[in-house]
Amino acid sequence: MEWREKAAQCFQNLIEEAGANHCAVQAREQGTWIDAGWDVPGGWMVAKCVLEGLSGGRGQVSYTQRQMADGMQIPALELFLDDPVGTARAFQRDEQGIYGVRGEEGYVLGVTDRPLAEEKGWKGNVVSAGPNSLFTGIMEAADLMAQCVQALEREGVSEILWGWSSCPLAAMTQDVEETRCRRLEMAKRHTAISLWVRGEGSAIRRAIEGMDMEEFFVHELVTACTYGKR
Amino acid sequence: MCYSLNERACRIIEENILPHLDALGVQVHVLKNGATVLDMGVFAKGGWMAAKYFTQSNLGGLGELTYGTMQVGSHRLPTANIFVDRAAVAELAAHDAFLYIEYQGVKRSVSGPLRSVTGTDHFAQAVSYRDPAPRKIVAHIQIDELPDEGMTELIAGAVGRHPRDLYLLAARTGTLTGAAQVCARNVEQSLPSLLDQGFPIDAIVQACGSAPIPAVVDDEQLAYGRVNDGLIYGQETNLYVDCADEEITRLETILPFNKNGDVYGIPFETLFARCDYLWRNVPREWDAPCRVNFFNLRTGHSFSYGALHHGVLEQAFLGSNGGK
Repeated sequence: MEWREKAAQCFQNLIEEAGANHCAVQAREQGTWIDAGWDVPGGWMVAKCVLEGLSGGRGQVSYTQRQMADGMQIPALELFLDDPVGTARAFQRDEQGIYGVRGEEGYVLGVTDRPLAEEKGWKGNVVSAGPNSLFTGIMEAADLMAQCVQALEREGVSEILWGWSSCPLAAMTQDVEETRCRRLEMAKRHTAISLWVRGEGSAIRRAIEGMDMEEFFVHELVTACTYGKR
Repeated sequence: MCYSLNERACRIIEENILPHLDALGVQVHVLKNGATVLDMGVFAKGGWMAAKYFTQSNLGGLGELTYGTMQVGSHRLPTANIFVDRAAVAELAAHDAFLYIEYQGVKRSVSGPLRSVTGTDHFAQAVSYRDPAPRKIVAHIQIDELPDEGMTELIAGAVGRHPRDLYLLAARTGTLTGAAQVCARNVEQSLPSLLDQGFPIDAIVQACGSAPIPAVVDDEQLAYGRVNDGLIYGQETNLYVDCADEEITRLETILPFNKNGDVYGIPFETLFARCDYLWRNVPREWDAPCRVNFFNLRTGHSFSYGALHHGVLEQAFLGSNGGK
């Protein structure tokens, strides 16, 4: 219940701050959607607020600058989560490609990169932004930890206690495919994710080997071992 | 002084912790003597936010703990970052764990704003600030069992108060709360060392610091070792001071941890084992900051002493199996 309350509070904040956040609010018969990157640019604050809602306020969502090999400082999303499993649940997409915190009557705080202006099947409160928007880039960066959690759960590791991630944000272009490739490169080579778990070593190893990320580490609390890519 | 460290700590507890126990992974126990014990990570799960409020209440609300990351060798590690005003008061009269109690044959150190009620120890007495009559007193302890009636009576009694007036926050080292709050003791570690070396504490205007959190493990003794590596090999403190340059320059070889040439580079786990895993056997000289940067507002000069050791930090991060 507290998680949904936090998500609802976040969506209410987004409505109130839409102008300042460079977003636009659209009321529809099936709910309210916030344009965070279609006809308006959206940006940092709407993404931060959404992530705080998706994580139930259980942790820190922050931006930082990271220096890359070419010397350039670029922005990065950093997450420090007290409930990475709960947050991962919020990143599971439904059949329409929407994910988020669900309520009895639709989404309390939903997110999608589909153009809701043209779609009818959604219900509730949803934030939507285009695939090559800053907002979607930040959501995809956050989703990387959720994917790592899901990889561990598939291998039977269920006691996942805390996690953190640091993901540089690739520059966007109008070429959606180019933007997608840049983000994949960031995920594979420059994103650092660590999760603290209790679980069986071979299962942890299988989860790590199944992820195409060079700096994904799992720290097993009982054995004090750390697992990474071989 | 028109502010109460204990009242500010109480506000953090009553507004940020008690209404959000489930989200924070914290449990509350009201003992028979009326003392309130907050399990921030002894048997409760705790986490990043529990550590944040543990630390911020420990500072008497005079500073902030945020998280970030830093590059250590070829790996990225999370960091605990502290920003503190009135650093001498916040650290020496509250955050530093120099109130000692002996309970059931075990000597334990206690920190928190309650130390400023009477100036419980040599370090709290080094600043003139006192918080003589707060509504409630707040203390913090690093411990692997829940404090009971006897322990809370001793702690409250150390400042002449009844246990019903006490909030006691507890966490063991082998949790994320414990690891993060220890690594957040970056500025905290520097100030007693400065006092030991005769530096004029009142010359410190503001301070901030950072330390990596290299490991969290269940085993309490291993945790002590790995987490303290974050401090002695990874913490970097910035001090804005107003004094003569000579007060700073004479500290070059006597302040930082690498002055201990015979042990520098050895993981704390090994050093702690040499001390039979007893804090009372750890030489005072080992509790020294890794790196301190002084920025002298009076002269415009800056000085840096000490060095980080990425090798030991990576070793702690990569665990018992070297990350393989």
